Amino acid sequence: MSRIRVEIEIEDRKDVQVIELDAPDLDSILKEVRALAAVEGLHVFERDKDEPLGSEVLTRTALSLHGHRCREVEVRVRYEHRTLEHKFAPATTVFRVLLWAVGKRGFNLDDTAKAKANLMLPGAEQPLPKDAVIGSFVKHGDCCLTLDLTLKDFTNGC
Amino acid sequence: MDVEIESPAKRTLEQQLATVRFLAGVEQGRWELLLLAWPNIYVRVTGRDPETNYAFAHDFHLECTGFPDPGPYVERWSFATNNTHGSVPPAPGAGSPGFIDAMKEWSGGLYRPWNRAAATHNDWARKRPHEAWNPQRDVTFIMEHLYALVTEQAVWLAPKI
Repeated sequence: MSRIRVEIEIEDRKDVQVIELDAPDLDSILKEVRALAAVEGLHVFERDKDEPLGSEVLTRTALSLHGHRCREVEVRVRYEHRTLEHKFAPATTVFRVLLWAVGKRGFNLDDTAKAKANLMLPGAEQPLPKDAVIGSFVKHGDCCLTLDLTLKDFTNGC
Repeated sequence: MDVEIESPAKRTLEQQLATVRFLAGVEQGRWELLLLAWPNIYVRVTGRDPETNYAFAHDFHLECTGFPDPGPYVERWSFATNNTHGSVPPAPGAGSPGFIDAMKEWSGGLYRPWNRAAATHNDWARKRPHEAWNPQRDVTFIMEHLYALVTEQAVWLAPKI
């Protein structure tokens, strides 16, 4: 085992911390993350993974982690007059939620509509960054997130 | 004795290529740094269809003079181990509309606001700040957008394979 550099984002806190650990086992990584979070009952995920952190990451040299007290986030996506719900891990990226929302298990949009689709927080003027994790928009105690699917064209320069 | 002074722009880029976020993307198989030949970097980005795990990869060239202000010039690329490190391939003919639009023949590389040459196109950077480069951003911002593009294409291709 070697040195692992770990980037840690906790729930909706704005700061991202980086620590370095020498030849850690899984327990020592989790202990360090939970100490930084300073909250009880934290679930720790690798970025964009569905399952909590496992020993498979011990071969890695760089880890981007997200910690959240919600094990799952109930995401409600609104589009036109319909609302669809699906549970995701808090470390899921906005991009992966978007792929679900526009895909066959979601609103099943056609290819042209998919290309224009974005997710927004209700009342926001700009779409959410696709690389953000949904847990960063969810406060502890309310493991739900409501998003609006929009086809407003944010990409065309004209 | 002549002493070569390292470019601050090169140093900034190298620091960003060594961040946890960038390296975690490499280890997760999302992207690969093929070559750093300052001021150019060549990357291979791999997206996967979440339903089928079908993978699609594409190369890109980032020209980073002055990095991080201005941001990189980004163009589609086909990497090769020759004197020019490859060349610009033809624009793709079929694919997801978003991928095709970004990769189309155009005078300024990728048709997206996070590309230096496209940022000023029709005041794009001001109108689309969430997608535009600014000097506070990290090169991983570009990599994440490239990853989303090739993943869109992987999702489009998966049911056709």
